[in-house]
Amino acid sequence: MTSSAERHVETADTIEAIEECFRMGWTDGLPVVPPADYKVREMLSVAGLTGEEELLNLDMRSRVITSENAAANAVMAGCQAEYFPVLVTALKTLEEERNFVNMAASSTSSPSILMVLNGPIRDALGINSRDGLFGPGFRANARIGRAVRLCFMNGFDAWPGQLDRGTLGTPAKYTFCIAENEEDSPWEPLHVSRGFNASDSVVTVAVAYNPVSVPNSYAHSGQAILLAICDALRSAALAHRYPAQWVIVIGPEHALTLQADGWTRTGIQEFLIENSGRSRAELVRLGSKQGPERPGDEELIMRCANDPNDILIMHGGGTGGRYSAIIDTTGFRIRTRKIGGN
Amino acid sequence: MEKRGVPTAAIITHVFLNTAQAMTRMMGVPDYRYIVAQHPLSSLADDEVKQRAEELADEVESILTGAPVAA
Repeated sequence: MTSSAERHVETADTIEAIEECFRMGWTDGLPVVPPADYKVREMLSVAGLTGEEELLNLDMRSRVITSENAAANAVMAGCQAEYFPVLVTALKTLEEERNFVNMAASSTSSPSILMVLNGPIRDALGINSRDGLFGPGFRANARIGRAVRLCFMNGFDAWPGQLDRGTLGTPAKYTFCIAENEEDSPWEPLHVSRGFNASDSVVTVAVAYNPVSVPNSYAHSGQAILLAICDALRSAALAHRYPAQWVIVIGPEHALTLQADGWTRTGIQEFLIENSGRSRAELVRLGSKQGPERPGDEELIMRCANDPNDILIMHGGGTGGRYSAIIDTTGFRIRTRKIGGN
Repeated sequence: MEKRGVPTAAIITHVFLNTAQAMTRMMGVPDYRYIVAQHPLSSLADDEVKQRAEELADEVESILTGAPVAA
């Protein structure tokens, strides 16, 4: 099995090479860096790989993404060679739950692949954790996330309307790669809460939907901020996923208020579960859960998560506004892995 | 499942026809038989789902047994 036959394009003109990549059907619509062989080798060399390794095998499509495939897509995404170990680790992590990977390459619900970076690698690669967290302007965020999508499009034929049947798609499919602002966080870093050392460089990977922004500008208490998050969680937009796993990004100004009011990570997690309840009957009436209504559904209260550890709390974003964000994940178990580890 | 020896009848809805064709080509079985039902299914009421299932039953049986569909 192979993800694609080797194809060579020769041209002396760089602009023409970029256009040729588009004509070959290798792009997400934006210009790519032509995957010159020496750039692919450089990428592999930094990660200590030969090009032969199988990183992600999608049985359902009879396709494998090899390290060479990944490197070529990383070059096209514009990655610096030192970004490549992050991509390799993310792909290996996705291998652990392939059926859900298939969702990010096909589902009508249009999830993407979220990557959250923790540890020293954030500064080493310049991965943004502050202003404009999910937005443009940062090379590593833009390109590492883009490389994952190019791997899916070129490796798994995840083309919209063909094998990728995402109904609405999402801008998060262009890139969905962020870092945590550990330094200003009131709580221990996300990766430490998940059993890693603070000095480890790790990536947390989820098959996830676009972030839902939760403003709370005027009610200056930690509890009011958390109630606003619960109100969003209870909406038809998110509650159809109950019970699930979530990534909650607490913005810096919200974090300061929560800190002043003494909220711990565990306290936040338990509060969100306790206050996110919605009856199954309501969710059936909204079309969020499959009907018909059954006796007892009015009293059957569903909650956002079964376990506090299913709610990942992280800190990020800029100062100036009072916003946090909810990221809804699919049934994929959110996984955290040391970069470069096995 | 078919490759593991489990007789399988796959059902898609008609809006996924191009995806099913791409998938079977990709899997190296372009002639793989599947049933094409009218879209949508997920918004049907229970009795409508049952009716749809009854309509498709003969074709499911035919795929599972390799016998032609009964007239």
